[in-house]
Amino acid sequence: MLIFSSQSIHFNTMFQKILIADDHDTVNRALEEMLEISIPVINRSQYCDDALLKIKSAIADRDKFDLLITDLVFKPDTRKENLKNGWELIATVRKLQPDLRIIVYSIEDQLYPIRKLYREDKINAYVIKGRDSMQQLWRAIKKVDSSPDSIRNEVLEKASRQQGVVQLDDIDLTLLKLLGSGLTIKEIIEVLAKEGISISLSSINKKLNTLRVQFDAKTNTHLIIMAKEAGII
Amino acid sequence: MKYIAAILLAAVLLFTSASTEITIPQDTVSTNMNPNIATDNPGSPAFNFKFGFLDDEATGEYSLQDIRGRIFLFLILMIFLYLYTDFHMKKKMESYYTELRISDTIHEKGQFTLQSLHEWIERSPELTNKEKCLKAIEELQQTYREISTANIGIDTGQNFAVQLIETIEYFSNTDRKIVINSIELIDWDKISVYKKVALYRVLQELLVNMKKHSDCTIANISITKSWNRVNVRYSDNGSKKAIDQKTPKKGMQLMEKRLRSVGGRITFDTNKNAGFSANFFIPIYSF
Repeated sequence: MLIFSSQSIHFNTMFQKILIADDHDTVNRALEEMLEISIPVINRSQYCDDALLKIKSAIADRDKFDLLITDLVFKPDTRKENLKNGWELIATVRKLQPDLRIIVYSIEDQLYPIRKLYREDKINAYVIKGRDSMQQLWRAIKKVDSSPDSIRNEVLEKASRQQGVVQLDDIDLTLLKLLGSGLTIKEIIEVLAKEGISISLSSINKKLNTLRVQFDAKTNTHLIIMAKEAGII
Repeated sequence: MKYIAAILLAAVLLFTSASTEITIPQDTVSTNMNPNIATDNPGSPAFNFKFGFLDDEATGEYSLQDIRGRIFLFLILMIFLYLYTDFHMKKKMESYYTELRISDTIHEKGQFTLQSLHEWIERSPELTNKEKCLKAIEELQQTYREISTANIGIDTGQNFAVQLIETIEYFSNTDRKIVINSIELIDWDKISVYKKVALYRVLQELLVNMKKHSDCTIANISITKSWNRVNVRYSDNGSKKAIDQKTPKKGMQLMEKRLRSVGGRITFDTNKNAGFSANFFIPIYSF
């Protein structure tokens, strides 16, 4: 039975051999059913150690895997395991086979662990498990296939642009405070010069411009009101 | 720092006990006057510990037992201080490990079960009311996720500031901006692990409350360091109505409790017109 029959159309893929590492049998099977038309060889494993073994033997046989789809958290087993979770698996595999494409498919949705995976382990895509995540995974596979660069899940894409967080340095803060106390830009330059910070008119305007963009403010007055509302000044 | 202070404290204690002995009346002191008594039976000093300099004045020399007693006392004090601080450290970290265990259990068991249920329902065409089931599961998943997030492991090493900023980012979006200052410039290495954990958790609690209950459009988090304190200021422009109705008292008490356990304090403040703010600090060095 195909779950996403409308989406599981055959497409010409570079991926010949993939490995799915997930201790969840339903996830494994669902993925396999979704992919089996397009991809000739699909291997599954329920343990990290097992997955690593398969990758190692594939390298030894000169028949490498093209893609690894892995979860992050694995249920602990009664037997002794060397690799306990997906993080360890990914880090080890990256060293063994740097050209392997990795898609992480997990329930974890916190930014820090996900960004860390992009930064340190150079994973190719991250899909958060949840509703309709199968379709997202499908899209991610296609994207990773067509362009080797990292792509992100839509949720992350939104956050990755840092629209929500505005980080201000000390000069930005002083600038806002002085502007809020009613000084003109010329006077601000004088005050800053007295404190030993030399800054030109154009760079102040540039800074204010950036601040306005960051705060979504139309004018300087609007900017000051927003800063006041937030309790910055 | 802690240990230097402990040694100093022990030294001061010994010194003060030495100087107080001088005020002891003459007749009680006279029993210790003869140095022969002290050296003859060292097994039963009867705790007429001679820390005092009185002996030296009387006999003109340090008695061996006197020095031995002092060193002995000093060592005992040091051991007690070490055990005390060690015990407290472990106790403070214990709650953190409990949190990690909760997070792991939910990750491993709860979310897995839900996920498989979710997939099973999606794959069963014979089920009626599929949408309702899926929706309920999704709500449960969201709850699990919140619990798991509230207890997430904290990178208390070099990446603490990065994690802090990315956590703040997680709670922000285009309609709800969060302004922060240069958090990464603070010397986080000098702050003990359990204090970083407390700071992170309190800030997280504030942000969760903001996400759930506040209708603010802009918020500000500034973390600054004064000589022995890390000060954190949170403020937003949420309306008073939303705050009064929904902000849970329990969460506030929890934050207060957590901060008190590391020697910090928190104050909450609601402005008349609009906005909610919270100030808290954590001491960098404390005993």
